Amino acid sequence: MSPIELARQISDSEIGTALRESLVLFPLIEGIHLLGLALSFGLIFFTDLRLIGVFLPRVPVSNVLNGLRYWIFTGFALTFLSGFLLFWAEAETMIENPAFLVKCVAIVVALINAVAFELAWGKRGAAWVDQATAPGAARLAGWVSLTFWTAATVGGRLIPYYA
Amino acid sequence: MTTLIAFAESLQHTALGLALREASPAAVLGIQIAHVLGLILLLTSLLIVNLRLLGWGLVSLPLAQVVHATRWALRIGLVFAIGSGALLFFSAPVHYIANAAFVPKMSLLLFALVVQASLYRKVTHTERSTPLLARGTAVLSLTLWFSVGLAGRAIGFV
Repeated sequence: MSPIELARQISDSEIGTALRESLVLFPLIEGIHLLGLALSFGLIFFTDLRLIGVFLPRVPVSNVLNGLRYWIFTGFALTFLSGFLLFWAEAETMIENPAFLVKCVAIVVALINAVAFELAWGKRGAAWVDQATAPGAARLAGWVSLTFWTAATVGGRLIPYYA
Repeated sequence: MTTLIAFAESLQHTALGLALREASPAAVLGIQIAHVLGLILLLTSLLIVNLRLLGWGLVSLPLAQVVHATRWALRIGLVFAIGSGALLFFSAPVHYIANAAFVPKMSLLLFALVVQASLYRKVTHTERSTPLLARGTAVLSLTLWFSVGLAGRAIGFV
């Protein structure tokens, strides 16, 4: 089965059709997807600014990360869950939407970066998390995260213009 | 409502209204993106301060430090969101005034700005607010600003 055929079956499913045709649920999920960004993308944006030394530069990285971690994960849960539901409803048109595809690539890069940062930080973070200046690799991770999460958000906003 | 629409029609014929109506789609798209990114910057700055007021985030830092560290982002977010919003409005005043979600959104925005300039300002400038006042302000601020965002999203659906 081709990806396009699979996407058609997803959005033609009972749940996909019901979501797409709901006058209340669909806009509500869109709203949650947008506002959830203030927690997910927004909070990760500020922790990235900490990594590159712009936000709270004299506060240990671990304080900033741990002080917001719960909300960052809540935000990403909201954003991804609502995003999956929106995709379920519109898979057939999304799979051929260039803005959606670019957005997905940006998300994959940002996620790989986040996992790599978590793994590296877990191993040798202790040495620098309490210093003002993060090592080069951690600052680079901050820049990559800033760039690709921003690209994912801008890509999302562009989706209706290619639909 | 008729006077509002007549007012919107007169705005449509101003130099700014005409210029924006003839602006390229790419320029309008750029303004739309600035509107979303400005909104997120604004909401996240408020979220960080309000979580601190509620005692739910960054509790290891003094309130004044959290307020100070997010102030620039709050201001940039406000300027971008409201500036781009005003441009979008001037590009099609009648269209927006006639939209059922637009006037509620502007009412909520006005209310949010009043709370921002009064209660929020008072509570974030002192460490001595009672917990009830600090928490109440945080809940009110978050509810109002997120409702502004939700009402804005509704403009595209009603």
